[in-house]
Amino acid sequence: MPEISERNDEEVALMVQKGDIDSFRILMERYEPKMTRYAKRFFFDGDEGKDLVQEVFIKAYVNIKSFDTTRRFSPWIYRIAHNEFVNNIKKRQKERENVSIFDFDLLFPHLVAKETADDGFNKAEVKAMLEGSLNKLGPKYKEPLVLYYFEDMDYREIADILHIPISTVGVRLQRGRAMLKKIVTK
Amino acid sequence: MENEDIINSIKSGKAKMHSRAYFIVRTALAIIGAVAIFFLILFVATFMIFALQENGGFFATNFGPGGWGVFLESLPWSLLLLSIALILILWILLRRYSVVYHQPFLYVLLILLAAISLVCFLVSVNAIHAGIFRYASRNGIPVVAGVYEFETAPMSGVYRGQVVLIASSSFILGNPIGQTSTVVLTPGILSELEDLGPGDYVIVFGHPVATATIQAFGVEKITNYE
Repeated sequence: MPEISERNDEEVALMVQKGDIDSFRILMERYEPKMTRYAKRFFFDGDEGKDLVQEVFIKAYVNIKSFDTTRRFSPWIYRIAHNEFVNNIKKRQKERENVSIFDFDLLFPHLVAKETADDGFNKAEVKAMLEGSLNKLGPKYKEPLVLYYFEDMDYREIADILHIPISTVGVRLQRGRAMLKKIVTK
Repeated sequence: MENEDIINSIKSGKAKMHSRAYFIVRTALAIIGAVAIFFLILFVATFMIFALQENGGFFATNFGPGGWGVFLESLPWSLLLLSIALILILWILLRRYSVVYHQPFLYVLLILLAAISLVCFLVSVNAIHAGIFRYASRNGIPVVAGVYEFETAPMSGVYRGQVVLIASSSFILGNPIGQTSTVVLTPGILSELEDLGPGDYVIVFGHPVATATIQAFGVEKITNYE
């Protein structure tokens, strides 16, 4: 039997579901740096970011029995984090207007953008541009870019985290990259 | 709060894991709610179709710009807004499931419309609504009878009734309370008379030109659900 540290996230989550509370520590250790980094991209830094990440872990534990262990754990916990961060952004009066309740992007089908289509940018290039201009992008475009370029999620995983169609992920990434290009060349 | 504090709060019972039954019940409630809303949408949508057929709006579009005016006037706007609201509620309720959020809203709408069309094709929804209308009117069920009466009342310029007698360019139209009117057809629609016979139920689009005389620009045969 492999050591718990050698088990994948889904196997560890299954152990937690069966009542092994200590296994949850492993999941927290694995995801704390990722969640903290993700929170930072949402401008939740310092204590506020730390508190939110802890809140994400508590919600993950409380709801862990809703996790389907045949699927990947990572998009599931990122979805919890997304909800937590968006709800907190809504509380901030200043940024509330950037988080729309209804998005017209979700109304109509889009041509499926290929996952490899990078509009002439390579990953490192976009990452560098993102680092410098992240605060100039609205959450609608910033989040898919962060998930794709920093968290190495694929289109389907991003769609599962944001609860949007896969084709919309492609469209947002394309538009986000175009916006970044505009910002950088200004 | 550090990770160790989280583990401690879990161990002390402060943070409790929801049971699998909790999620099963929650999902079951969401599905029951969604099914109930779906049937409500189905009911409202088929009622709109019934109302449009009864008030004449459904057929009015066959008769040019004047007909379109009648159609827009006869649209049950409040029911239309209600069904849009219900569709949005249904979408919000089901958006947590990947099978729904992976699709654009337009597809969800098209699937709903297809389901409504299928039900209309398989079941005589007009007869069902006519039955509800009759039952509500006879038993004096206040809100239901009122809504059915209001939404199915013919618009101005729309006349419902039964053909009593056919002449060369006109016919006599009788209404349920025994009154009759002469319907004079404009030359362009004289051919409509060929399909009509005494006893047919019709909707007439036109305007009064004299006492009990209507100049018609459109005539449509309908099914009588009375």
